Amino acid sequence: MVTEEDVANMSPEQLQELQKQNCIFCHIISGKVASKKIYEDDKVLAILDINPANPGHILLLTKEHYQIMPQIPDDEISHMFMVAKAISHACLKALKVQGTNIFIANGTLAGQKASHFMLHIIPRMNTDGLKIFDLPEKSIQENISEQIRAGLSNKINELFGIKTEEPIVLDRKTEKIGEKEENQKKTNKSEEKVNKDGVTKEKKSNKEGNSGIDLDEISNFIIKNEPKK
Amino acid sequence: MSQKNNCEFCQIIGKKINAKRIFEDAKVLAILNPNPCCAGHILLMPKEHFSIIEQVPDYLIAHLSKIVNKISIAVFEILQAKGTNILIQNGVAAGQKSNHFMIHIIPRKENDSLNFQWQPRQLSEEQMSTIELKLKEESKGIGEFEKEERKPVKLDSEIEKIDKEENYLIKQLNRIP
Repeated sequence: MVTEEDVANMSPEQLQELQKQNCIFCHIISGKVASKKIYEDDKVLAILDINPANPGHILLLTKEHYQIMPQIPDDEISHMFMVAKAISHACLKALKVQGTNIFIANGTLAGQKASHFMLHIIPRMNTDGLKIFDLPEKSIQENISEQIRAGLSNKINELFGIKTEEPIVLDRKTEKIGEKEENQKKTNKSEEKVNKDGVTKEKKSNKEGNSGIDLDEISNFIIKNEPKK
Repeated sequence: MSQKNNCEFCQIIGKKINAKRIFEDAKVLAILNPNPCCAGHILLMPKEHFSIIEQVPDYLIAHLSKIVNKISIAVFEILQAKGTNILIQNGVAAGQKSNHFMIHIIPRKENDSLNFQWQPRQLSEEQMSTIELKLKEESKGIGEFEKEERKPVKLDSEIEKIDKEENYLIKQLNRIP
C-alpha cells in the first residue's frame, strides 16, 4: 500500500508510473480491460464511453499516459485533433446526427474525472435535450477584460518565442495584472489571505487533503518547471 | 462569399469590428469572446471562413490545436485558472451560434457557476454494439491526413506577390515621363 508520505517523496517519473498502474484507461489501451474500440493507431485510441452523454459518445485517448493538456507534445496534440475531426465526420455519417461537440476537460475543476487525458466527441441532435454545451453569457467589466487581454497576449507571445518590442515595460504590466487580480479576489473573499506572489495559494491547494495525487498539484508542478524559451 | 460578408467574425478578422485580440498569425486569430461565459473566455478561429470542422483542412486543425495548447498554458499561468475547458460546437444542434468555425477556451475557477457535467445515459448492450459497428465501418478510412498545405496553393500566393511587385514597378515606370 502506498501512503501519502510515499507519494510526497516520489520523483515525477515515479509518480507517473504509479498513476499508470492505477489508470483504468491505461489498462484499456494495453487490452487488459475490454472496451469497444472505434479507431486505433500508434498514438491514439478511440473507444465508446460506457456512460455516454448521448448514444455514440466517443473518448479519444492518448496512448501515452498524460494527465493534462500542457504535458502533451505538439505533434501528439495535433494528431489527436486531426483524428477527432475525422471521427466527428464518421459520427455525422454513421449515426445520422446533426452535429457534434468536441470537448476537453482539463483539471478536476473543469470536470475531469479520470487522470488520463482524453477528448470527448459527443454526437448531437436538436432534440437530445443536452443543454450543458449552450454557453451562458456574462458581462465582464471593460478594464478587467483589457487586463486579461494584455496579460494573455504577452504570455502567449512569450510561449511562442515572439519578442515583444518593449519587453521590460510589458513585464511590469503583467506584474500589475497579477496584483490587481489578487486585489479583486481580496474583496471577493475577505477570509482568503492572498500573498502578493501567489505562492501561498498554491500551497493552499495542497492542503485540500485529497489522498492520492491531486491533478491541480501536478499541473502547478508542470507549469512551474516548464522550460522557458 | 455572401456568408463571409455577413459573418461577424470575418469582420473582426478584417478589423472592421473591434475585438480584444490575444494572438494572431497568418492563419489564425484568438480573441476574448465579446459575449463571454466567464472572464477570460477565448475564441480561437481560422482566418479563412469555415462553418464546420469537417471543412477545415487537417494541417490547419493541427496548427490550431498547437495554439490551443499554448493558450491553455497561458490561461493556467496568467489567470491562475484551476482548469480549462476546450469546446467545439459543431453544428447548430451542438450549440453553435456563429457560422464561423471556432474553438472555445474557457478558464475554470472554483465556484464559477459553470457546469459541463452531463447526466450519463444507460444504453443496452445491443444498442452499444450497433453503434460500435456503424462507427467502426465509417472510421475505417481514417489514418491519412493532409499534414501540409498543398503546394500549388503556396505557389499561387508567391505568384500574386510577384505580380504585385511587377505592377508596382510598372507604375513606377509609367510615372517617368
